[in-house]
Amino acid sequence: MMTREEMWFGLCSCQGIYRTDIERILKAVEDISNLYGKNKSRVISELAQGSKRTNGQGVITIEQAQELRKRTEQDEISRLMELNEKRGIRFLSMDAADYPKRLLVLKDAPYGIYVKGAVPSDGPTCGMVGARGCSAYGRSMSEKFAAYLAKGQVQIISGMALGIDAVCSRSALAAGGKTFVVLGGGVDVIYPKENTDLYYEILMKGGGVLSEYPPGTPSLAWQFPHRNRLIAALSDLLLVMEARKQSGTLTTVGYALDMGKDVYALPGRVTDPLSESCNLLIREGAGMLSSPEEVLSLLTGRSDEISKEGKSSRESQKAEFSDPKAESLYAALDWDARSLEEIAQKAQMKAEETASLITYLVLDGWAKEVSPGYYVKT
Amino acid sequence: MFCRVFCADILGIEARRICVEADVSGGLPGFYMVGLPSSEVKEAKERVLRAISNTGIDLPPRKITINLSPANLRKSGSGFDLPIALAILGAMGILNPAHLKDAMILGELSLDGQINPVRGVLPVALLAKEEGLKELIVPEQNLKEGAAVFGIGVYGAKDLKTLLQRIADPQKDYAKGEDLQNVLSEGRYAYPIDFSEVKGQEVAKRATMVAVAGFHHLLYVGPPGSGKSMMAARIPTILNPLTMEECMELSRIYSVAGLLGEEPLMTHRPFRAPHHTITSAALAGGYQIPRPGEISLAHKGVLFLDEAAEFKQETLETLRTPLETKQMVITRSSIQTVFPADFMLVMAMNPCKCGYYPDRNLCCCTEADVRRYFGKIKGPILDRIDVCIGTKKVDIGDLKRDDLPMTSEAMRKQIILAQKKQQERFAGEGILFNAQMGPKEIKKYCGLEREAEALLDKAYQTYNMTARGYNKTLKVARTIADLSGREQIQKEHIMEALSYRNAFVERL
Repeated sequence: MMTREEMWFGLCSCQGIYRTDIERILKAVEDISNLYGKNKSRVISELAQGSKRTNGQGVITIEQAQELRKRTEQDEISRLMELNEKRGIRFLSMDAADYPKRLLVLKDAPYGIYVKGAVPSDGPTCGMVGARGCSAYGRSMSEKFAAYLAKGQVQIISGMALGIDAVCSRSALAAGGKTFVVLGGGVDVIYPKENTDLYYEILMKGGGVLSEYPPGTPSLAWQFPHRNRLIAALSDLLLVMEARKQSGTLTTVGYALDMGKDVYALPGRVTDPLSESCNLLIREGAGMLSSPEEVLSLLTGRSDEISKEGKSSRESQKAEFSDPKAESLYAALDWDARSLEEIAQKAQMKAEETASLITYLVLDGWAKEVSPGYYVKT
Repeated sequence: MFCRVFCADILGIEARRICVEADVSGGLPGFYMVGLPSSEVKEAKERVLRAISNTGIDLPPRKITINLSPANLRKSGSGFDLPIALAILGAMGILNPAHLKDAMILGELSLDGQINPVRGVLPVALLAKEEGLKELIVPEQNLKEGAAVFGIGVYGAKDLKTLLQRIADPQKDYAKGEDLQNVLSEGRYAYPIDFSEVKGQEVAKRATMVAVAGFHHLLYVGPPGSGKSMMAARIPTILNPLTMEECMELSRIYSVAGLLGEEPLMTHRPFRAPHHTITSAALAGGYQIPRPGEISLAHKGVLFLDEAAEFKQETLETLRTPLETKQMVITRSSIQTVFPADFMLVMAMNPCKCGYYPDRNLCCCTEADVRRYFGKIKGPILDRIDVCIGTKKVDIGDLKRDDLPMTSEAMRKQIILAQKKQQERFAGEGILFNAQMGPKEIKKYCGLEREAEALLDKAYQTYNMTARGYNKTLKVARTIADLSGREQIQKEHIMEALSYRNAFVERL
């Protein structure tokens, strides 16, 4: 006799049958076990051709019915489950004990999810999302917030996209924390390719990769907004680090607000297109991100645990230099990338002196080269 | 009757002596040419016969045989017209062959007897002198070029008629060549452009000066309108003057390429800036009878590749060997030619495909885009770049700044001093500049004090540098120390050198 978990697995492993299709199927067959009963063949045919329960209308196409027939065979289910086990992929149905409780809040929670690695624990989670083509400012702020939160045992949830998403996950890992990413394709489809190293690092360091799509599903553009609802649902709090006007990030924000979750946005200058959506969100009532300590206390209630260990992040920004020239050079830096020439002009220093001292700042971690000859504060 | 005159053919930048033999005999009238002539040499027949007849000389109908020896080498070029004509006239008895036995003759004929200029006069003149010939007859337009060689009488022929008169009545009124030393010092720094016109780019100018001082290859990265090309074009104004040997070698290349124009010699270091649509053959040299490419025309000067990322991959790849060996060897089935190609490579590129990274107000490229754009210049080429500098878009404030920017003259003075130090240091080592140091020389001349070494070690860890990057930093630091007049490389020299390293090579 087949277990209910296996039944869910069979239904959710169909290629080309999505959540809404499954919803209609379940409505038509009343209980999932009917799909696997003695008269399974007739039930599935009726799904495609229509029955009294469906007012004579088919709820799935003939192709979908064929796929369903194939995937609900005991042999096929065993084969796929074995294959997934080999690849380290787990399937968790809505009924499973491990299924992340946070997802159940969703009206359209996935009937089952695939997981490689772990699922987020009940501890605090924080979603961090933003633009793919981020600025140096967005990047360094994301690094700072993600690292601080990760050190405070907050699990960072993100989408592994280029730019902000990847920066947040990487910084969390570098700080010794855990990060979980939700993909827009199968959990074994690494997208984007550029983050292959990140994908494996997440798994190695106890994090996890989640998806509602069966393994092997390619990452298609329309799946990403749906993926975003899972990111929103898994996050106790959502931080928007940088977003242009009409950014895809805003769909994540929309889902989070629907679930009554708090959204914080990183403010930027009004002239920066990458801060346009963030500033707009703040005007519309989103929280304003000002310090990682604040976020941590919102999430955990323990505000200054980390601050006690060392200087708070705001204090540590006050750099101390033994060399007054290095200090004035540091003062000439900004969160925005500045060319060595601008830095030299601002600090009123000679070219060779600037070129030499900037290396001192970079080596000691006060500055970073983002493009040849362009530097930002860190 | 038989007559023999000397002529020459060009292979690479060397001339070869060719004997042109003419025989006039009885039998059916006709014109036969043997000795492996290429098609332009074969066509000489028509030009020569018409030019002689239009000069007012009636050739009797005889059998004319021309032989070009050595007969096993393929001859090409239009310089054979005049020697063939004179050999025929000598064999006919119209002029006295004895007058031509110590002369080398070169020139192309017009149908009316005018003598047109040819390529490669300079190497021919050098050959004639080497062979101990007394006289060189060249087209009038090539006279200055030929006269640059001392120790041989050079006569510039305008047309066949006047030339024949002169041969009949030999005089020694040879053109006097200009004194090379004089030419070199005179035209030396008469550039219409100057580095002081580049405003608000003092850091990039400093990096340029460092690169030139040590003959390091240089890469500018910056948005459009940030003065990359403007600075590159001014690099010749801060190069040290050509030495006599360099001048002769360079002039040979230009003579062969037919690019000397009115000038007798190349007195300036060249600046070549080929467009990015250039083919591999045009860049490196080639064609059936190999001709020098842009890399050889940039010999002892600057090869500037603007929009370097737009060059075709295989075109850039052809630079690899010449950058290493400082010469270009072109091999064809029958011949092998060597062109010198010791140039300073200067490249300029945008930081990304739209050109404005990291200014996020203008640039929407993702990081992958940026990386991909940079990846267009492959590692082996980027690896040979020692100095990389970011340039900034010039704003109105820079243009109006009235502090005195560095002039070419000031920069050149510092550079020449630094280069003198290098030459003293490397006397007997077979190299001239810091950039040419190998591991052995680096070990010998780039010793560091404890503090400086600790700093470089730290940078090696922090930047995740390669061994090559480590050595490059030492070489550039050596040049910076030379510029500041120090024997010992100091900590600040290392730090400055580190800021010129190409971070992208390591990140990719």
